[in-house]
Amino acid sequence: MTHSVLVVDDEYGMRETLVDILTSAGYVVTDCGDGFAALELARAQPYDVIIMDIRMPAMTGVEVLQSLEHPPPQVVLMTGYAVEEQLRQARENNAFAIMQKPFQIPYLLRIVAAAANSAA
Amino acid sequence: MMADAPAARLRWPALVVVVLLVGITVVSSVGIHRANQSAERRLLHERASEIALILTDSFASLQTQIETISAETALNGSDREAFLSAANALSPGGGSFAQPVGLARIDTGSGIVRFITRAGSLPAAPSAQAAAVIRRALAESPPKVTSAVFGSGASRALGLAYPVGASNLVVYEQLPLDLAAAGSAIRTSAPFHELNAALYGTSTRDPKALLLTTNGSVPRTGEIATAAAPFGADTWLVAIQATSPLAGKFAARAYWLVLLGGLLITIVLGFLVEILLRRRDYALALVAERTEELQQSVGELELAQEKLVQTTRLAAIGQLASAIGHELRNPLGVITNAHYLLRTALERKDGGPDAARHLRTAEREVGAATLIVADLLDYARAREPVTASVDISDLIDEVQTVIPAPDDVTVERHAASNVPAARADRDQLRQVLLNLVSNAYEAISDGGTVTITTEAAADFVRISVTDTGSGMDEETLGQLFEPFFTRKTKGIGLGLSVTKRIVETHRGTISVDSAVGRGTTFTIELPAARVEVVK
Repeated sequence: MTHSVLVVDDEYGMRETLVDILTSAGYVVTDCGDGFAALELARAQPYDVIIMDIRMPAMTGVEVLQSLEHPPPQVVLMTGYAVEEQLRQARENNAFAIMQKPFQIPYLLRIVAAAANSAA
Repeated sequence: MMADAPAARLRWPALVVVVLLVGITVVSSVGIHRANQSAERRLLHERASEIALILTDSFASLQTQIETISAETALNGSDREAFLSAANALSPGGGSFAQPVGLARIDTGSGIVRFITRAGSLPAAPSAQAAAVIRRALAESPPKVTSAVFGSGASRALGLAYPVGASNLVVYEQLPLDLAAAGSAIRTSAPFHELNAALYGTSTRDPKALLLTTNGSVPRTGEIATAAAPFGADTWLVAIQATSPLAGKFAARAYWLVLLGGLLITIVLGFLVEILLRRRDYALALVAERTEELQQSVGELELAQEKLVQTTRLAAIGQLASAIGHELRNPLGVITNAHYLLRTALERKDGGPDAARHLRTAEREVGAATLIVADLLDYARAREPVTASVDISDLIDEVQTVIPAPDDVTVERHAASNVPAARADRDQLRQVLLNLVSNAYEAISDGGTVTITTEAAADFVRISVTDTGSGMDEETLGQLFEPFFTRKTKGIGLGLSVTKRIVETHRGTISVDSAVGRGTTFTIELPAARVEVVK
């Protein structure tokens, strides 16, 4: 069965490449550029995995994670610069993983696969 | 304890005061003593003249007596009878005259002196000394009483002689001298209670010629004053000595009082100065101690401040490093992804169109990373502008080409007709405009307009960039130009800091006008290029 993945990043380049990578890995991928759109999409359709940047304008990835309704999908957070407070909140809200940018793609794929399987 | 020894010693200013005061005291005392002695001496000499008059006065009656007898004798015939009658006439109780008196004749040829007649206890023949007095009396012209003291012990006598008219006759009187009796009578009289006086029948202090003393002894040692006392043809001498200070006992002892008083004051003042000095030394030591403590505190504060500065600097470096690190992670992440996609596309050997797209993505992200690094370098390595005449309109065209407006942003341009060229470093001014215009684009989130206006203002060119974005609050405006300040999720917060610095190195100004919900206007003014006339 194919898993659905939502990619959330305000950085167009990151979003575009992640969509390409995950699509070619066999996932059904949707993307958006900010937290509000992500919440809307997640409400409209359940995703198995959400890959999301922490630092975004208007709403951070951690804030999106806290606002997600139950049952929550598995959320993988990405960050360029880990702020201790955000990491703590991410863990408290059961983020599946937190990945430091830039990351190696095989590693990303392993994490996403694990998240998708645990969701299923 | 050896350490206590110096404390017992006087400090030098106190020592100086003591020595000075002792000196002044001694000098004053000696001065007063000398002045007193001098006054004493002067008083004694004054008294000597008075005493001379008083003492000779007691012998004046003798002089009158002998002169009277002589005058009477001459008046009544200048013979033996006339003399006796004259002498007896002076006898106080009547009868014969009691004084040892006689009439002497001097032989004109031989000069031998004989008594024609005599009364009282006068010897039959004149002694050699008596004859000498009688001869001198005859020689005096005008006639004067001559006198001499002679004999010794109980036979001491005063001889007096006076001539009778123009004859060779002389009246002679010889008085035995009873020193004790004469002295005691005078001693009790007022001028002599504080004086010891002696009268000599000659002009020198010859003990053989002593006529009388006021207290039985002759002044020999100590301060003695003498005065001449004229008596008939001769000059007698008075010598006096003070038995108690003439200027008063207090005056005589004043110098002792000054000396003792001065020494007392010296001791008191010396102690006072010493006490003050010790208190001052104590205060100074206290001040020194406090100063040292303060200096130590200041040193500690400086050290703390240095540490703080060091900490702040480290914090700033940390802020810079994290900002750059974070910013670079994004493009690096994208490039990593693009690289992966590119490799998988190439491995499939049919990824033509996709490979080209991934390459473009990678290139774009390299550009973004380069821009971050360039921003940082611009900030870190400020350079002096190399100015030339720059056409503002051309430059804005170029900026708009480099960063096209987003789809939902309209750009309007207003340029006055008389805008002169700016005197600026073209690359730096381009950087400034790129920063301002891209900021304006980013401030607009939901469609709007960016207006770029150029106009002339005195010797300046004014460029304004206005956006209809969200605007900024007071707090943001206050920090706007500080390095590393940013409200954006992208960028390291150096753009406006660099912009401001470039404008200022051009001797221009930058200002901002903004209100939340109304939008923002940045205005820069740059010096206009002078019109150069080329011949």
